[in-house]
Amino acid sequence: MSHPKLANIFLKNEDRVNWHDKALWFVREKRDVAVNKVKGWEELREVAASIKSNVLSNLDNYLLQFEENAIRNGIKVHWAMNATEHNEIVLKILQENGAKHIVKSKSMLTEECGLNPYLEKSGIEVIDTDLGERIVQLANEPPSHIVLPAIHKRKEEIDALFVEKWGIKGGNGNAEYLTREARKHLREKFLIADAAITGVNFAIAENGGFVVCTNEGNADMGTHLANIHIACMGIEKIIPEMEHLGVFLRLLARSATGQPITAYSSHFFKPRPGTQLHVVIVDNGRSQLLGRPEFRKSLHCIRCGACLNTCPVFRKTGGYSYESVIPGPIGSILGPGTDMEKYNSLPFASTLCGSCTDVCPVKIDIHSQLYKWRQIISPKKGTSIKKLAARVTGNILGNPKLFRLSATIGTVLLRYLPGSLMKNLTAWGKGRELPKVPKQRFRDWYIKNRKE
Amino acid sequence: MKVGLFIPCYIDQFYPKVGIDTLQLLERLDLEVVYPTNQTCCGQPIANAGFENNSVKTVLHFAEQFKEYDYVVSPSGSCVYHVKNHYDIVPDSEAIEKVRGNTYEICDFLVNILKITDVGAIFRHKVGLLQSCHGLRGLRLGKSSEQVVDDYSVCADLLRKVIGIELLNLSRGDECCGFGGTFSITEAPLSVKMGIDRINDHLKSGVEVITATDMSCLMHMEGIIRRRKLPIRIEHIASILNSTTS
Amino acid sequence: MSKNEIIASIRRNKPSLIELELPDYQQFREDIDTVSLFKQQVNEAGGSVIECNRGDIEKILSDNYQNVSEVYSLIDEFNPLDNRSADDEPSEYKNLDLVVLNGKFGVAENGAIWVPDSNLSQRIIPFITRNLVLVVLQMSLVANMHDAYTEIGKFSEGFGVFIAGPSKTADIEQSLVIGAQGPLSLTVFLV
Repeated sequence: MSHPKLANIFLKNEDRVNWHDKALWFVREKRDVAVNKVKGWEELREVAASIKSNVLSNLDNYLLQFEENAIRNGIKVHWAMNATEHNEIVLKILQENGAKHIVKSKSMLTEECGLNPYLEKSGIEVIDTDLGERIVQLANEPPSHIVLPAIHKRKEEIDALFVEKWGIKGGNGNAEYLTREARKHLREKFLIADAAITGVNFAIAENGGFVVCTNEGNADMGTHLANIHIACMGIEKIIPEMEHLGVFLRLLARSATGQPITAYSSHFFKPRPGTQLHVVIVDNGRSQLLGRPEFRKSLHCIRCGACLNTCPVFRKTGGYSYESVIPGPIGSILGPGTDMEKYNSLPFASTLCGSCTDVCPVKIDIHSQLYKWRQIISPKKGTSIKKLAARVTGNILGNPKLFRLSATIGTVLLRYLPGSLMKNLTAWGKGRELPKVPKQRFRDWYIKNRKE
Repeated sequence: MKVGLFIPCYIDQFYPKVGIDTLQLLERLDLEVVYPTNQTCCGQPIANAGFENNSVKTVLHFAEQFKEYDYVVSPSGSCVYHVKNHYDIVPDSEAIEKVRGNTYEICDFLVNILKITDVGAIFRHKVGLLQSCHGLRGLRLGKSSEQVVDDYSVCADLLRKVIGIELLNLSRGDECCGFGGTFSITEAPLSVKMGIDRINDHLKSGVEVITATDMSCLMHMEGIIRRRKLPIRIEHIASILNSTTS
Repeated sequence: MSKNEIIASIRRNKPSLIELELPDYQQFREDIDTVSLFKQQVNEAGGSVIECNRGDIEKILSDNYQNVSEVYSLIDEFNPLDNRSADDEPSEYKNLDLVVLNGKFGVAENGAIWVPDSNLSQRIIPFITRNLVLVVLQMSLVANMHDAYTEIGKFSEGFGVFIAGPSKTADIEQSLVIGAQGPLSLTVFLV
């Protein structure tokens, strides 16, 4: 379904819309407080963006450098051209080691690749260990937000879900109680896990290490207990040097949740003695995106979610209205790059207000890219009425005589059509009155008062 | 200094008073202002819908109409933003380059070109400033709430000098009103919801008059206000600045 | 092979080289009181700070943690009875009530404490315990993350973690709950 259709479903429950909007605005406000405490925030964004620009222009060499250093450190490096290959690589590692129970910390890449259902088909149990992700996993739903996966769920719903799935006593939606119950449940899973899968926030070319950030400690509970750690990363996660982490870790959590840093920023360089550490490097369309100069910068993204929190469209229509793995403004520019037909309504799910661009810690020109996607999508949508209308309008607006004629017609129509008819005729009229039509246009007034 | 007055199409048709106020305001400041009567539109509505290639004629026509003026001034941040930022779809020419460089939103023109903040206006009302996004984040007429820079706003600078005005603070000072051009039609229920939320913010702050640099945002606000019969009204910032009677 | 394909595709599609500019970290330098900012940040992250002398650590720990059964310490000043070895399976630490470790240094801007492999006997220890105590030298505090990475320098260990506060989550309706999958509490001894 298109964004407007799904948005209209979400909008039917205004209480929920207001609640969702407020919850995310709260996060945006926390972000504001946090970033205003940083001296040189705008310059820090600039530095981050320039590092990312360098990375994209030298990505092949950084990846090879990373691989060489990682191998030297005892990490096994794998390369996957696409989602299928990524899933096959992960499955093969697990099967070779007879791993049946897997714990996984948050990774948008594995969502993108559809890893969980793929592994489950082969009889492997995958437990998402981030609380929000565990909640949506239990509910058999995808995450609705890249940082706050269960932001669309109310605490009473989560309570009912835990009661149903775990047979615990209900806690009237008490967040602390529910979190403790989840902790008990996840402890058991951590202790029996054969392998842990994580994402990668940053991979360091100069020393072959990588960093995983969490607040819950779930990535560490998984990786330091299990004997196999598989870390999955998109090719764009590379940074050149260790010192650049200083820049990105200062930006990431502040932009994401308003914290100055996540509770845990774990740096992995070598496998724990006697265990395996694998890194799977995934392309899945990214190198193609690299070849499109107007959209290349979207590969700067560090998945902080700030553009989701700030976007009024996202706040008021929810993550599921986008139907893409990554929802919100950043998803609306990434989606069409992977499947333009499927995601062709997303670049239009925006007023181009530009808040996403101003909030982005790595300076992606999100709203400009939305505009550019529109220029590609609209002309391709076939010979729709809209296209014809635009061509006609284009001609009229380029011709003053035609323009005046049509403007007069429009004015007359507006003036004489009954309001009730107009109300039903146009989408505008459903919640709004049309402007009152004045007796005289500005142009006529001007000629009468300044020219005569 | 010869100023070309650019009145966006929907202002020409639906809000002629805003055009008149803009003209009179500039004339009061002893400027030579001309409205080229063959002007049509800047091309933004078509371009934002994804058909900028169909707006080539419009763009060329705009440049032709306004190339002779030292400055082109308009009561719309959104249209000015479009001229400045999206006129790269036609081959660069002297006329195109000139209008891209010389076209200004009225408040921007007053404050940053004429260096005037006090235009001698009187407006005895409680006013809320709706920060039209293209003016705010596109033309940088003020600090957006996302940015970490010193606070400034050319619109607030002008309004604060108006006698009798009470400029009120809002809880979400620069959230989008939800107009967004064709967005207001293609995502109509969402557009209306965003508009209602903005109006409620103004109402909660005790605002009597919502003002903005863009009449399009205000047209959307007004449509909701009238439908719901809300105790608040709209006034374009040029009209407030041209108001000289108590 | 996919590696060659990916590298070839990147080479076809990447823009011409944009030089890596040397970031000027000096512009982010602030005149701050590192000790008070660090304390404030640990508190805001949900932890607590006890300022004391090294010699007082043992007494404070014995006083504050009287009812804990499983304790594990890697600091010289505090040696509870313990017969664990580094060869134990990590899951054998599952019932730890209290872990006491040295932090390498602290970061004032965010209250984070760097704990590398060399300060650990097993990587799981600071995460699996119910309560974590980190001992940090006041002298070791650095202002921000740029200084932190200068301090770390060329890292040649297998693992290292910045720990800021106890584990936490706000995944249920944005209500902050301290104590998610890792420790329920973090106490920093600033000596």
